[in-house]
Amino acid sequence: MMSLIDRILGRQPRSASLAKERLQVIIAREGGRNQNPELLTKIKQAVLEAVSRHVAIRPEDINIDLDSDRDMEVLSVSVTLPDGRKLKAS
Amino acid sequence: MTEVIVVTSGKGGVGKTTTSANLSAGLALRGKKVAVIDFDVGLRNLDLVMGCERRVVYDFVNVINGEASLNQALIRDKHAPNLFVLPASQTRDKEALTEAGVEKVLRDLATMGFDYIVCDSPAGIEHGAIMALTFADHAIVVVNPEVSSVRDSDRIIGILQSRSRRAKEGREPVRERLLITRYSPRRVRAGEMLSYLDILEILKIPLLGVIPESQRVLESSNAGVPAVHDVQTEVAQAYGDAIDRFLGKQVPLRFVADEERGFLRRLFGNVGRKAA
Repeated sequence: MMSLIDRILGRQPRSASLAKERLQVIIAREGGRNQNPELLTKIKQAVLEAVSRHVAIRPEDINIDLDSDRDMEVLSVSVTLPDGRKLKAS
Repeated sequence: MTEVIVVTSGKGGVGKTTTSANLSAGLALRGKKVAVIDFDVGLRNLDLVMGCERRVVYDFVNVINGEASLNQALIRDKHAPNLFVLPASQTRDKEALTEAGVEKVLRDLATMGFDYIVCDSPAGIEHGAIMALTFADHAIVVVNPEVSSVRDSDRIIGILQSRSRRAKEGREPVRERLLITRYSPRRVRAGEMLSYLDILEILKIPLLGVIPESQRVLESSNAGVPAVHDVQTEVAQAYGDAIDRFLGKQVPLRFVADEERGFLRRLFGNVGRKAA
């Protein structure tokens, strides 16, 4: 629900922009027409291998997102370390 | 030259059949000779939306199997004399739609001098949907401003780019364009619905048109008369604009702005709004 203030200022509430963000992530990941749909899986495997040499992690500890904002693409990889702290590389 | 247009979406219920009916009727009203084919074998519905369900004798599968000629199976539209409907069969055997059979029917329609053949695809990405897009020169991807429809559209665009004859033969790709239906400018402005710009940014194919959400669509399918015939309505005009764009005209986008502005908004204008 929009608050009155949001309404007056014409601010966007979350749902439409949330939909857009979620779609951008899932479409980048699935790549319905991605040239190389396996790319993110391969990157994930490589990261898993590399990090596993130093710290014991599971595949689900790695989160990979490919975001695109018009003509720029951002690949972000986050790895959750066993002690709960996050090692973040972009 | 006959051009084949597939109306497709992946997801069901987004308006493929409504769009096929209006596109084919609109092209016919502009003087083109048009055949519209229902590829939804087992779930025939284009005949109802076009209002010719009581005149169906033979169907697409009969023609493919050589049980009827095209002339026997094509149903002339009541409203546009140069528009013909080829209904789907009600058989449950979807494999009846062979690639060679479909190709022969399309080729025969071309020799009969049709300008456009509109292929109304079934939902999903199964055999019928693949057959509908295989021979396409143009694809109209119908999408609703809703997450599952947008995701499925992305899938179907990927399939067009890999499974169509044009793709397989390395020819110029199928010309894909997006038609956004059931659009509510009011809900977009309220931030409750993806805007057409959001959808374009995600799907990255050119826009053919935006059809506003309207009660007229249900009323026209109730009556079996495509909305384009009711020229005063927004839906008819929006489809008309899309068809004119399809034919190469430059037409500004209408019915995408929410015109009813409240007192406060008139006072504050676009303060605080994200630039589109």
